[in-house]
Amino acid sequence: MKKLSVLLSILILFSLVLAACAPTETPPVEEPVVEEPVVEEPVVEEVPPFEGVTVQFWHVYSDAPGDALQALVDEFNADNPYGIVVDSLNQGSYSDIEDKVNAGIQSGDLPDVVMAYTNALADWYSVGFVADLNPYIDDAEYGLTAEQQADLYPHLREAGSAPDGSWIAYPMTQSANVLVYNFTWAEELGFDEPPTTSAELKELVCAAAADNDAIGGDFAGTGGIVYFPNTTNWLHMLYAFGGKELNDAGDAYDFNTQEAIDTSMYLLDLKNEGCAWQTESYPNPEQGQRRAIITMSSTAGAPFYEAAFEEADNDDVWGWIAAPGPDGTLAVNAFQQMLGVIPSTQQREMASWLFVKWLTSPEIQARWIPASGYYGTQYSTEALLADYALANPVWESGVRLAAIGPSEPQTFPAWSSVRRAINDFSAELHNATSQAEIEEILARLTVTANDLVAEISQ
Amino acid sequence: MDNKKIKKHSFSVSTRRKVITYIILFVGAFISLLPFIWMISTSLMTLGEALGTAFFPSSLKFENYVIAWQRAEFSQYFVNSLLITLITLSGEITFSVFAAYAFARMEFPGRDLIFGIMLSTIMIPAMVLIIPNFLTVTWLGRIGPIPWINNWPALTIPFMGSIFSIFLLKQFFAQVPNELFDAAQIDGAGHLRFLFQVVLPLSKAPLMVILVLSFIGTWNSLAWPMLVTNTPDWRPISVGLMNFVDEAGQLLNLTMAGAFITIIPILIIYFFTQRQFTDSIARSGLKG
Repeated sequence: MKKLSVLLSILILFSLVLAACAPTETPPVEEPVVEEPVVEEPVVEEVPPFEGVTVQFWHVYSDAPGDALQALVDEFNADNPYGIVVDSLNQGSYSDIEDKVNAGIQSGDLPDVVMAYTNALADWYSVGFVADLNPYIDDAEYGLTAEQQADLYPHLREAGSAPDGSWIAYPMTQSANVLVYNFTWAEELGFDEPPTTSAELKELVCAAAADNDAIGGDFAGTGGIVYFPNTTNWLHMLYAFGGKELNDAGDAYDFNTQEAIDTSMYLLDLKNEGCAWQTESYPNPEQGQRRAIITMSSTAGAPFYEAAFEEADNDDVWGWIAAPGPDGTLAVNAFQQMLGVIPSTQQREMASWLFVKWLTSPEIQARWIPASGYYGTQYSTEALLADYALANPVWESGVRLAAIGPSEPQTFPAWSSVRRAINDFSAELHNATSQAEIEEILARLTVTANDLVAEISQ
Repeated sequence: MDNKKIKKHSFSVSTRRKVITYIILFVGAFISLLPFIWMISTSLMTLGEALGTAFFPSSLKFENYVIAWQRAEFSQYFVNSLLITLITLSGEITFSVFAAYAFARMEFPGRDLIFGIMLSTIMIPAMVLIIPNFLTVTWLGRIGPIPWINNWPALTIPFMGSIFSIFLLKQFFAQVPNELFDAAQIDGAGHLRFLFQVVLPLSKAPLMVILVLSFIGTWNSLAWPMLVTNTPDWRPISVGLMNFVDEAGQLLNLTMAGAFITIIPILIIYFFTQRQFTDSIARSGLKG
């Protein structure tokens, strides 16, 4: 016991010594002044100089992408003509950032620029903690020229804008939910080109399913498209069928549409005919083993598919394609890695915007993409990445897809909740037995979604 | 002959019981070990193998450990975790010992009420307390001489007051016979001397439980450190594991290699304190 007492004493002594010696020169976190929510559109007048302004930037990148981003930030700090200093800090996952910003809203410890999902930025905007970027983007001296604005992919402005027109989420890069397509196997089945309509898609996946049924054994019942009924996948197909989440006026959710019925009936038909199936987990291994000719995945999942094909010792050529609709409409479900600016002083907000503008400029984006594997947000970035595209055919197959979108209406009220509701309802849709049942489910989904909006508005 | 039969019969019954017991224990041990075996096995696979259904690697990729160590920047996080754990443990044991002694052996107005209120806070889920605690440490950092956010105080001080530890120690301290205190008083000992020279030597078991459980809790914490740190300066080792997870998925083989690295200190601690720990668990009635 004497030993324990000695151990205790040592521990106490250690804690006291450590407390006394602990480095108190921890880099002071500059606390941005969080002002009252900006209600009126701020008028960008003569902007004071930015010399000495420190912009704190919270992001989600670690490992090699984190190092690459830090190198870019260092370059900005060294070369920017404004004297702005950016303090770039990895804050873990998107979920961690949401927790930190939510806590920071209470305590005042917030960054100047934050990377987040669009719906999170929309939520923070609704309580006055994300700034409208329109005045800065349109600023004559520091904003984007008309040509630069036209260079941005068309769906991105809408994807980052709140219903009141405020531009609250600026895209750094993009990824997308796409169809992962086995070109080699499709050619062997007689399909030289990827399907251009939903009918062709059905023909292809059913042919692949029949091919595997003929092999039998473990392969029986596989081969077609792996379709998990969830929000991302269902909306992806809905976009291809020309559908959307909101009504024509854009002021309410509406899933009670012919496009939504057709999408659900089409998916049900694939399932009932044995041309669509589900795996227990992510379908990468199955695709590598030729148990699925098409799966649905984020383009960010490329390394996992590469590993799966390598593991299966499969040399098939594969890549990304868009989902085709009945009339040949091609669609993906595009996601953006969005940046938001936290309201502070006009000077800090402008300094933040100048950093965002630099970071998302085509030249910098073209250097960031090879490190991150994402896609650009501007047409001119594509030209700068011609060599990278040649060396990375899978990545190249997604370049045009990132430009077509569309994206989910993440800034529309209650989207996070509605998204969860769609997840539940998509499973119901997948188990429906008739069109009448599908129509009833979609009607209920519409009511539920608008109830969620009403609930959040109260 | 009859006696022999009875003996033989009773032997076979006892052997059968033993066999059944051992089978149950073996199955239990296997179920407990399975995730651990899976972790080690996956840590030695290629990414493709790890994402598939293989249970054992086709060839052992020991280099995963080197890659995990380097990519997760464990060398820095390891030191941070050691410091955080040492400070937290020393503070927790100190405060818990004094608080538990006061509740167990000293009479003061409202003692039971205060203890009851403190005990009831165990029922509050930790996640609910995150934002209030964050606001508190932010405020303390603003009024105090040293910053709390991004520094060791926010990571350690909130966990120095552990109700569970106080409760556990109080139960033990209360069992120390009053006669011992009387005898110590006759010898001229006050509360402090009685605590250090009589009570603590008798309470090795609960102290060991607190030591091991708190070590594991502090070593593995993630959500709170992520909230109160913005830079890697004081982030613990669990944060390093997040380097292998992104929005598209998880580098499972490297995650498992990293996970194995992070639990090595826990295994070492447990290895050296195994006997005392199991003994103390049995004595403290924590099992089952």
